[in-house]
Amino acid sequence: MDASLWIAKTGLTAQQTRMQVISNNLANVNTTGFKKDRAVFEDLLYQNIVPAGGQTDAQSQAPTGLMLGTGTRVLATEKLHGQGNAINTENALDLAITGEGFLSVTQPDGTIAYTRDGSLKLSATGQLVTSGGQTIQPAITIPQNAESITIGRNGVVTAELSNGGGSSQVGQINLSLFVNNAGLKPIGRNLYASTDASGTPINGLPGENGAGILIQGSLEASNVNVVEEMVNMIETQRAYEVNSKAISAADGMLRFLNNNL
Amino acid sequence: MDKLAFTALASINQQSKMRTQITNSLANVSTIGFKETFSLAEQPHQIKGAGMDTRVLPGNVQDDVIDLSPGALNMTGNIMDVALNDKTVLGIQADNGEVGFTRRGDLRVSATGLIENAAGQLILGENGPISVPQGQLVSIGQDGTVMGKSPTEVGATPMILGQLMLRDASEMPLTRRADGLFQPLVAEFQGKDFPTGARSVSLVSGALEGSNVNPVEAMIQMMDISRSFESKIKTIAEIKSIDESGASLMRLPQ
Repeated sequence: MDASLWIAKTGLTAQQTRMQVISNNLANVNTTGFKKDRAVFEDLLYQNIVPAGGQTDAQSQAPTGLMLGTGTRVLATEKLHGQGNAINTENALDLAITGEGFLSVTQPDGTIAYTRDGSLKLSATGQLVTSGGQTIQPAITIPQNAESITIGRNGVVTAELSNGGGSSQVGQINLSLFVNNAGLKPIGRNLYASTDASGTPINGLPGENGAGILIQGSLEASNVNVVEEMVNMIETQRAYEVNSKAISAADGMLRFLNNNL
Repeated sequence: MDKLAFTALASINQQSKMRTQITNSLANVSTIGFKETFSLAEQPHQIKGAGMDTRVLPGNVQDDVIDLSPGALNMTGNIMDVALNDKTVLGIQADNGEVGFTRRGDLRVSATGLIENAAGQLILGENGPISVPQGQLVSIGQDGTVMGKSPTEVGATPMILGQLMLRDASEMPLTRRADGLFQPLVAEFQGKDFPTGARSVSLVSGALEGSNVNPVEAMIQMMDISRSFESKIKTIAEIKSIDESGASLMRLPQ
């Protein structure tokens, strides 16, 4: 029917997707280790109506062409892996990662997932697990008679044994690094899976070769900025409105045509 | 039938293209680094023939040059986001291997360690694509120098990884390619690099440039086109009734 109806429709669809992204960000404003998403827009292909440089007569060429656009789309949602604030919880098993790197955890199906959520717990067998109950890699077991646990900036876990048993080093937490963090696939439950775009994980020790350091007794808050999301929401709403105006203008013209001819 | 109806029809057809362009601008009101194309204008084309010179048909004049006026800057704080200043454009590798230019600056490091934009298009440096060593913290200088530094070494001098292909397009009109990238209007530079203009090239790191579509202007144009469409339809309806009354004159009395 009318090209502009469909072009405006692409605008509405894209803005609606963006609204979903914003709502999800706002919903996760208190999720530990959450990284905000951003909707990436792209203009669609252009139709070449008159090619530039086309012959207009024997001697002259058209100096410019005529390209008509066909709208917009949301190309991707991109995770922005900026640092969230570290919140002091004074819980010995809470870890915040400052800098690059993810904790790796074993999933029930045996695959490895990655997380920034460092709210660790002890399992029934004394292993360090995430709040979701998944074992962190490499597995670290805290002895039964441990009185207190210290996790160093470099990830070394030391347990202070009761009854003057002294302290014993029980393991070291590793961090996984990716070339392209934005390429990680969020799979929910604060977890990410590696993809071809993220590259294969490179295991490193905290504080070495570009990996971040661990802060015991803190958690990394969500990096969602509420004010920014609110502004984005207003912008999205207005952009949605102008596109729906374009549809109603085209609709009005067609109605006028039908009524008057 | 009077030829006037066809004159009105020709105008409606031409304005429909203008409306397509305006709607496309409105749809891209949130596209990073989107630039409007100069709008179309109507030009009369006179058809010489018998009778009075009243047959002046409108035709579109194509002025399809990218309007590089700046869009609103949006501070994101993401070190890989860049906003290009003034008339600076960034070189990018198009899908068919040619050089295209863009204003969008949402850069990132790809899985293979090369700098690309969020659409997955390879960003070009002065000496080809820029590769970032594993785990390096990338920063982009005002002049487009890409520097990498290990995040754990304190006080280390950043290593220069490359220089973004920035060009000043103040003296070179740009047009759009079918894939949305820009290319020089001059045929000899199409799909290739072009010599930079006299103004200096620069960028702002940590910010993104929004679309330069002015929704108010686009809405007004849309209103203008809507009303002018209505008056043309009225003209056609008028011609129809004149024709009918002409035909009724010739009807034989019953």
